[in-house]
Amino acid sequence: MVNLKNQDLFHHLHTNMRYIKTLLFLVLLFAGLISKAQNDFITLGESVFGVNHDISDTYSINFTARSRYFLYRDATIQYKQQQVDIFHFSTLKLNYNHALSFGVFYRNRDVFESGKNEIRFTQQFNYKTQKLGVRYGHRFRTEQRIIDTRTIFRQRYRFAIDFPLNGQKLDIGEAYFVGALESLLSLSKTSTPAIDQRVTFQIGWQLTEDLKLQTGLEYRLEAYNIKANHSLFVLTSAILKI
Amino acid sequence: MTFKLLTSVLFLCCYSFGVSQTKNEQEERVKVNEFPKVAQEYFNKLPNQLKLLRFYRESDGDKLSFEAKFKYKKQHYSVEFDANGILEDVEVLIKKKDIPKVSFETILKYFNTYFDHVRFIKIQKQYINASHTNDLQFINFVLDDSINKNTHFEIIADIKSNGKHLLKEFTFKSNGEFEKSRPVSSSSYEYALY
Repeated sequence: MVNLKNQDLFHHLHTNMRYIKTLLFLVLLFAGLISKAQNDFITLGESVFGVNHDISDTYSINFTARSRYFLYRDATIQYKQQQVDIFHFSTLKLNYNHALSFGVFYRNRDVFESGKNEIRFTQQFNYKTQKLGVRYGHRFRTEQRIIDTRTIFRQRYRFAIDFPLNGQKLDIGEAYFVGALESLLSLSKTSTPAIDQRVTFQIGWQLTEDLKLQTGLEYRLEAYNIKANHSLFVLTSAILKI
Repeated sequence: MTFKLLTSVLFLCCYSFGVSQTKNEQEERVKVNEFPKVAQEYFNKLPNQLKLLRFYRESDGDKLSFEAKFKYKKQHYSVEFDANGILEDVEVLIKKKDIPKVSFETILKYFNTYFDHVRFIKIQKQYINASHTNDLQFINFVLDDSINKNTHFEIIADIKSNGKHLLKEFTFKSNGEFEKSRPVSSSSYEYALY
């Protein structure tokens, strides 16, 4: 019986090999971007633990804790906590592929002496379609970021695709890929509008019916219309459904 | 430390594969030589212009089935076989507007009678071999010209009744007459959303 399980495991590992190769290629691609960006370039790590719960057929809630830390800054490898975020999202499912969400968000940078705290309100509209095992998601967000007495109004649009890495249906124990492109526009009274761009690649595993793990990379190009900042995020997350 | 983390991740993986095995429900892509022998040969004899030809194995409890998916003349086909390689059906992905008007009206009448609201998620023309031709001949017969030969329409729809949303698969005869329906687990349709 144990033997059989192992065979199954190796079978999965084998079929996932070529996707690992693809991932390796993407990592190298990012490495290329890093070497080009040079000095002002920073790398951060972000670890997420999220809990989802369905209250009813149409209403679900999410609580997430997120930690962010510097891994590479000022041309040196380091580990220094930047912030901790806690947020909540309430999602109202309009029908099978449309959903509205409202979120409240708290960020603490004060304890780590890395900047100012933030309170944020988010309104979100999500639309997804699915064709031949690939899912396409369109997410629109408006955010009010309150930092001290300043309020930044940020508009975001994210296009994401995800698909299982084996077959067209995600079974328990299988891996999936998530890729996303997001554009952000920040508006505030005191500063010029800033445009950001983010690119994300992640691999996830549906470990059990209720638990999935995700890991990947996100490249951020911030305020590229003014003076661009580049950063790379190493993402890890665990999402639990209860 | 790293080693510890690695072993625990590995352990978690093994555990999850164990779970997937006890649940015994799995769909995965397979190589052509893992496909039933009889059906394998069909794909050597079919027109050469089959694009994106892929093979899948699906197990659900005791039931094992196989599926070949491909694109032919700009249409997406799915050909399903049982564990012995006997043809179950051929399906072609279509849009709402591809359903003949008369049949579509009958289908709509059914939905309007039994549900408050309906949203089509996936529509397929289904071809079941009811004639005396063999499986290969039948597949060729469908591929030759798939218009108006379908025996059924298969529709996955998000329906609303008594204020509740439900995902269901409906089968209608080609004239639009309702035949059967079954609930579809939406989990297979919802995965990486975060």
